[in-house]
Amino acid sequence: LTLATTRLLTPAKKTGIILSVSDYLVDPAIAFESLRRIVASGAEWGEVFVEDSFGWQVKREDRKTTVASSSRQGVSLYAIASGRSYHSCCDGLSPASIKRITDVLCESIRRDNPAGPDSSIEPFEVHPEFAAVVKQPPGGVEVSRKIEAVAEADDVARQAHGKVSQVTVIYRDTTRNVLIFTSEGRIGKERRILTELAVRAYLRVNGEILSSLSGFSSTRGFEAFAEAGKGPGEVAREAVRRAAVLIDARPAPEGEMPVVFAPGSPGTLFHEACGHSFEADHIQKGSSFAGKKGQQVASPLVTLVDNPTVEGSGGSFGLDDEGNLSRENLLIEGGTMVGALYDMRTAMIDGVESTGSGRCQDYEHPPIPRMSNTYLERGDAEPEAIVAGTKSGIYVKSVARGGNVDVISGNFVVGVGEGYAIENGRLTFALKNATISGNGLSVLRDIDAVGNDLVIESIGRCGKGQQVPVGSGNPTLRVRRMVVGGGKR
Amino acid sequence: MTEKGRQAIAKTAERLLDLARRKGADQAEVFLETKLSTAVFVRDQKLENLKVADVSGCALRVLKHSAFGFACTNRFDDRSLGRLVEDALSAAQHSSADEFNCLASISGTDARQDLEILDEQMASVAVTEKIERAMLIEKAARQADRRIKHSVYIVYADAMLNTGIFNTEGVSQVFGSSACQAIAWVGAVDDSAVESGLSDAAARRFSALDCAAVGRDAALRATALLGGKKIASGSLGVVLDGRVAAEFLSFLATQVFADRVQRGKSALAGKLGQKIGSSSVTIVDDGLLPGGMGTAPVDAEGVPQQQTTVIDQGRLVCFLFDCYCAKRGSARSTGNASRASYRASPAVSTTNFYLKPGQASREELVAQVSKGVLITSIRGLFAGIDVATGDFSIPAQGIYVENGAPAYPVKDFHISGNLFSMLSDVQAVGGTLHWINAGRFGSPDLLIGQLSIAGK
Repeated sequence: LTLATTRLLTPAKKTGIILSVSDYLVDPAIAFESLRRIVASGAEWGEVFVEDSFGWQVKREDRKTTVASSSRQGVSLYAIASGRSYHSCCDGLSPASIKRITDVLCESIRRDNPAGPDSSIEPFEVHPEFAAVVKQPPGGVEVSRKIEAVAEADDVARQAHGKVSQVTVIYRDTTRNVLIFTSEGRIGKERRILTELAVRAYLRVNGEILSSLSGFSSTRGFEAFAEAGKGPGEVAREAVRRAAVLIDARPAPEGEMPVVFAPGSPGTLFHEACGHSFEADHIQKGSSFAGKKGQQVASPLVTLVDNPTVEGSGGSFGLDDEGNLSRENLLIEGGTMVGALYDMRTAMIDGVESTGSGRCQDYEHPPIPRMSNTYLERGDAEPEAIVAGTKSGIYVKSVARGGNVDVISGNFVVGVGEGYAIENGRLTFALKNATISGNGLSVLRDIDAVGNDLVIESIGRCGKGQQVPVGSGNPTLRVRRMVVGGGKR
Repeated sequence: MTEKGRQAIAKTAERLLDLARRKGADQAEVFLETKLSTAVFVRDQKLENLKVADVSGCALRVLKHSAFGFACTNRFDDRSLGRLVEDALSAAQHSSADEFNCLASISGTDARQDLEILDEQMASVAVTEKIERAMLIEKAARQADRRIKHSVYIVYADAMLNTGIFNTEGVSQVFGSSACQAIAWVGAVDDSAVESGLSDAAARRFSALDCAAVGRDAALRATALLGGKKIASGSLGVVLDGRVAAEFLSFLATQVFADRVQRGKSALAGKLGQKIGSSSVTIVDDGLLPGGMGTAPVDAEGVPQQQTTVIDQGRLVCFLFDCYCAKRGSARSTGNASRASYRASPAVSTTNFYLKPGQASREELVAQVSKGVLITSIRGLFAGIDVATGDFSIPAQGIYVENGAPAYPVKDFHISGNLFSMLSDVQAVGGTLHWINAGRFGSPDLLIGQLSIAGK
């Protein structure tokens, strides 16, 4: 872990032979001409981001299947000058459009900045050390097989419980061929595949609707469905199981109490409550971790990691969207804040290297500092012992959507999806409508037990003005006290 | 939009419809969008990011043997358009037949001219002027109070759009629109705490966007919370700030979508005609509100938009429909089909969804509270509300009210109750609409009889 943080991103390996023009979506000569002009206009750094993407979506609801396909191509230019950044984009890959948006961008840069050097750029290729392994690219899989997977999930969910009244299944695959040219001369190429499945089951019990979600996003291809727990039927059964737990659920105890988190899904809470405050743009704006590097910000049991090289996880990538090689980044080590997540702009402001965390949703958006797969490292405790050692509190197996964090104060709130009361060291009844709220800083300080059973999961996307796929995780752990709400009315 | 631009859109659409029919579609629909947008982010009176985008795209829906196929692209060359038709037909072939699948079949409605959704001038506003506008948001916030020290997001953004909807059943519409928005999210600092304040405003006309007011409002919201005290638990009288009330409305809106109702996902299924709010609650979805941010001549399927009363003096009178739900529910589409972008299939959504204002000023509402709280912000409503029942419990902040007057800020408490009980307990309604979510949901301040406060 410590090794990874000292491994610098640049200078990137100058390896490989430059391929012929036909191997690229955009002629490198055109991209580098654009970058030469951008630098000459006063930018300290610039990139040409090229994207060619396509994908399929199969949705089943009300026992009816609808199929949709999408494809698009686009180019964006991004430049940084004196901490300012400029972004311009166009549809298609034509040299004329690229010239047009270069004109627009250069005009903006020149307005705010003195002219830069006008020199030619020496191209070299970079090759990510991490590459997603894809055995069955979804683009080559028959649509009928995707439909079968969705139908299987629907059928299994409807048979899994007598009270199932509605099921929604969404399968989605995206193939994005990304090509990045930077003003240092770097050429990076990556094929990014995302295979996603989400099942929401609705149970109608005594006139009330109980619903729950299960699913995954993976950087693997169609073979992801063969992995343990990811088969369409398994995902469907899990969604129904989570919803069925709510049948006998009771209002949560209210007030301040210990909260034990199960491994995996609750990682979203740490992504929301803590992770966002480590993004360098938020730190530079005065987030709750601003100025705390080198300080003890968490319990000594806490090591927090952001790692885009987790095999198969939806939040993984080999190159970030600024052409930097992805790498594991330590944020907190043994309770001390040791790092933050930088993109090129925030790195240049602080005079440091990018951590390879510049990500964008697509060519219509500029890269900004983002998390990838964010998780708390495992500890030594036996998971069972953590629960057994908790006299009274709650046990959270999953957190629900709709969470919210204020990055300035660090205050957050999340809904509990599946949770149980803990009474005398044992799980008793299931909880209904519980919420947990608190402050990101306090939560990290109040972690008093960390288990040895880390699980990393990825489902869905994180929104920060733009959506990117992420993963998160945690081992079993206990927070000494958090505010539990949603109990008595 | 120029006549030439309009013709270009129409020509592409006609070609696609023709090709789709020739390749075997029973019916087809084309949705086209071109968007020219600018976004300016500033911080500490310095430009942080300038984003200029010129993008467009097109979606084709085909209906074959009662099954829909959807495909979209951002390429308009012959090969790409041919591929689009093939993909849509292939999708339809794999989709299920559904007797309620249909396209809008309304013809002869000319685009209305009185909607005030297009400001042609916006296209000629210089980028430098837009940057100045963004600076103005922050300047106003900092000048409003010296304790404003952080700028989290200060944004000016605008877009000029052309939208075209055509289908084989007679719909043929092209219209232009414009939108601009100011967002201020600032942090106020004193010896004890950091509090943040968020405000935004949106307008169709560049000159109608009051950037300084957004900055001042955010500053006021942040500083008002400094020095907040804890509050004892109990049942208290509550005034909901219009922005907070509008957040509740944005949740309520999801419960009146006919697709959710028909699929048994809404808490309001089976409640049509019933009284679900007090008689001071009238909620309208007005797709024709002049200058409204959700206003358009037609919806995303080409059905003319309209004004729909959803809750009339407390009584639930109508759900919101698109063409599919209308056919399925033997109703008429209320013109509520919406697409987040050309890449999304149409789905039911709101246009301009708001609670009708009454007469009272905020002071008059607060004056009616002997002991209670003016709630100025809530957090995580969608996490803390039970979709099935409307029960909620969420963290809130506000101003304590004593003997009809604001006393001091309060924080670290939850408000809990039931959304529908709360609607029934609305005792008075303020006179000014506050819009949130880029002008899509609006509410005046609301005086609520009692809510449960869980504090220290």
